[in-house]
Amino acid sequence: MSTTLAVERSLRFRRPRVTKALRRPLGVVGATIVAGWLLIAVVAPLIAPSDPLATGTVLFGAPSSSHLFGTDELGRDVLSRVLYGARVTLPLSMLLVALSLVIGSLLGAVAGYAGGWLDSVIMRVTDLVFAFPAIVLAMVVTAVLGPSLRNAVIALVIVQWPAYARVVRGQVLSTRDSDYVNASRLLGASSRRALFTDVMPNVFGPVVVYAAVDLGNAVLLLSGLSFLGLGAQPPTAEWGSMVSTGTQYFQNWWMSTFPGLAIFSIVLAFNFLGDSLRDALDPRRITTREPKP
Amino acid sequence: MTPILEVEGLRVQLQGRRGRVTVVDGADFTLREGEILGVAGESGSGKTLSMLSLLGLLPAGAVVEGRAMFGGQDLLALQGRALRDVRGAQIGMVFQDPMTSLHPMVTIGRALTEHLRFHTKMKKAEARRRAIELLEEVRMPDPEGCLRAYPHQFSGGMRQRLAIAVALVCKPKILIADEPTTALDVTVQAGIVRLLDRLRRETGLSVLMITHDLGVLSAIADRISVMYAGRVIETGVKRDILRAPRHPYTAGLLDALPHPEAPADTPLLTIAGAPPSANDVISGCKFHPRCRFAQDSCRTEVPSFVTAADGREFACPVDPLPATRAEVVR
Amino acid sequence: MSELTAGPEAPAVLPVGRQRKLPSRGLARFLGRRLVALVFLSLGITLVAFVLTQLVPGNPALAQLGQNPTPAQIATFNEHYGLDKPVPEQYALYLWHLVHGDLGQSQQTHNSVTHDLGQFIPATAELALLAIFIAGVFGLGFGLIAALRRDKSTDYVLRIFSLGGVSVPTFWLALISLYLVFFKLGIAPGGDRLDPAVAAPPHVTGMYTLDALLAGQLSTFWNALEHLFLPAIVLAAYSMGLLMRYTRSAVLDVLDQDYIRATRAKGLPEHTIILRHVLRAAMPAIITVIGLAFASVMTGAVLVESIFSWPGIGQYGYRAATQLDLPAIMGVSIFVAIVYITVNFIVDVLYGIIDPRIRVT
Repeated sequence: MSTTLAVERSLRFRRPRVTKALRRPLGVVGATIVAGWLLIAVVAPLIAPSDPLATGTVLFGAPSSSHLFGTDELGRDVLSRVLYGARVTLPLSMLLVALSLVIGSLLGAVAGYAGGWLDSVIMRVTDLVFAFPAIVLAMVVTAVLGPSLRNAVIALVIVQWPAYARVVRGQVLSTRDSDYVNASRLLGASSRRALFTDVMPNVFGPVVVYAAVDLGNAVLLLSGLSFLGLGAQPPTAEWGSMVSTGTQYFQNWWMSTFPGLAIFSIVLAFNFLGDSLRDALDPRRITTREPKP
Repeated sequence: MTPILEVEGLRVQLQGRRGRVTVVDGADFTLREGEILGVAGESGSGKTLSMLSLLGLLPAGAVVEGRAMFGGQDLLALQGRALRDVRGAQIGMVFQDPMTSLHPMVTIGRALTEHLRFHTKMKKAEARRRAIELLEEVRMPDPEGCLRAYPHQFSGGMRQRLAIAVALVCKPKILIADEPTTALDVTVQAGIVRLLDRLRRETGLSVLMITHDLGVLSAIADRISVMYAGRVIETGVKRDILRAPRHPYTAGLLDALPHPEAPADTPLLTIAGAPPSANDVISGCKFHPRCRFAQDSCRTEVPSFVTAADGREFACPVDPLPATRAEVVR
Repeated sequence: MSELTAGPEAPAVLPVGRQRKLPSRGLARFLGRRLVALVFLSLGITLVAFVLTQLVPGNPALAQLGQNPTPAQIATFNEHYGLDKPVPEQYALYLWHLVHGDLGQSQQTHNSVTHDLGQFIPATAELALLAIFIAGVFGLGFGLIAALRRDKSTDYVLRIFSLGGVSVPTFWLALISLYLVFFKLGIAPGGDRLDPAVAAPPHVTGMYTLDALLAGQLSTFWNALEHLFLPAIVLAAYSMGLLMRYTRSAVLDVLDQDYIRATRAKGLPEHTIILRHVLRAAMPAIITVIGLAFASVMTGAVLVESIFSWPGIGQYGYRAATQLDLPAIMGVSIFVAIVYITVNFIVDVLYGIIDPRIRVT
């Protein structure tokens, strides 16, 4: 009995080593920045110097000791708005990715397992969605539904889910009939057990990596849509729309620079994380090759 | 026969995760003109790395010591242009896995002619003729059609023939074959073995063949060198090695071969233990932990590779080796 | 000689030429299949666009015809678009119009959408083509260098650079670069395609640089190029980062392969090995991302055009989306989608040409 388990365990895919990812320098930097922003999002009301919506008397004030990031066209404190912006961007991007992941993975898994016409239908739909570049499709959907943050998220979920479906379907197809799954079944594991212990970990590796990178994309798309006026509406403090307003008064560089930097930093952090995750999870990518005999 | 390649004191160190690792630790062998020298040994014995070092194909960060004299030059000291002139033109190499050693997006014709034209400055038509000549040599059906084809259109055995053709198209003096038959079916193996033998007989090619398959060695090798844990521990004429091994490891390898005519209940003999990895530190003779005949000195002194009075070369103080079962059956 | 070496060498097989299909025929069949898929996909796109417009609330006739249309005008409108007929018939009518190049009339410009497209597409095309060229050359080049100098300082610098490229929001980069290079340093022009004083060259393709060259107006050419430069670089940033990363990863994978070592053993010079063998083997993986890179250029165009006041499809489409100018929205969507899937088709074709193993599938 123990031999069976031992053999089974050695055949099974090793659990993703997330902790290893966090130990690499880039991963550490990324994780720190993300953690930092998450913290800011949570405690913004406590640390922001003023109410992000409160208009002031000093319009277009340059950065100073009282307003570290200056003030905007309505006299609002830019620093506070940037801090509060995290409360919009972070949760919504994560929601966006989570929804796309769930919907996409489900459909992808169904397509991979069921095969046949169901697979074809799902694949044709993903092809159709892929045929439209993200912003174009998102623009059209928000135009139809009306511009708001909620609709922007919906539009982006529609745009992003096919990628997950593709990844999951590909993984399901390649592991479903792979040797180690068959070996595991031969050793007596039931079909369902095989699914959970053998197929799933293998499927989720690439999906997790993709999701980590996609978080960065989600932030870019969400703020991009808001920049175009199709997402966050005034007076909501959101980074993309802040840059958009700043464009009109671009001599007052602080209005658009700081929100832009915020977006840049968090996307960079997500990308660092995604990269380290991918490096850690990919069994092929080892920096020093072991010598072959 | 005159030696065409003499390797002395070859030592190769690679960059491992935890620092430098010695994977070849003093190998000496000599390849004579027109002969097939079989280099035998298990995985991890350093056979492949020794060969790769001759053509400078080791991974980055590798450190090589020793000398490999070929045509008056030390191969191990060559760099850049000089090294490139030897590769392919003077020494050709065939790798172990035919499924991955041919570039999938390059036609066979191109694969055959690109280095031919580079080394010899042949014109296109002449190179093409030579390529077809080689394809006929290795008995490929429809040589003209082959030129336009891609590797994935051929089976493993045929790809290995193609690889041999590619290695020999510039008429090198030496062919290094790294486990040329290991990845192939037994029946296909025989074909490759015959091909190599014929090439040697007809063109005077010298072949350095790495293999762990003693059967292949007994078929076509003239002389055999046995490697263990990064060292050459015995070298000799095939007949001598197979009939009367002088090193306990060689004897163990031969004993492990089941004899087809032995009684059915004859137990399978093995060499206890496992070959050491390059990271393991073993004092004295690397084989002593597994050796039946180990003496006290074996634990502390590394036996030197000596030439005995009768011309046999080996690295073991136990001399003569007591008769083993294999010899009795033979 | 032992028994092993006496005997036939090669098993008897049919000549290779008769066993397999000739490569050219396999390629043609492969292309044919892809073309059929392209056609079906295009149809699907028109369907999607049509369905989307059906979902938009409001009376299209009123929206199109302005303030107080006469009943006769409304009737003509309805008849032209079959608005009083069942939906499937409307779709068929819509397709019929599409094939004849009638995309309806834009509500904002009151020109035919086809005319508008013809006016705005060349501007975006000019921008996009230059951006893709920059992204391609530098993305591939830097990616290759990074792979060859793996783990050295050059590699790290390039990797940080490419990470930056894919992380920076395009609209923000556009703004910053415009601010710095135009406003502060006064080097680049401030937007639009030409200086106000310079007249557009005679219209051949609609791309000012090309047309100026064709007409021999060199100063106009340089002026147009100046204006093109900054937005193209900004637009290229994301794709360049993407291509750099994918190229690096693909090349690293290839460098580890047996066949590269075998090629080295043939004694070929290093530059031949890298350019001819390594790059070629890495191409399929790199090409995969070209579709993505192209998509990002088109996405980015909307943002860049907005900041640089570039009169292209991006701006047109954006205005159409915000004002719910349905025919324009549909026209732009269909155009963009068709371009995109055509690019993907070309990518598929390239795949088949470069990697002979694909042709068998």
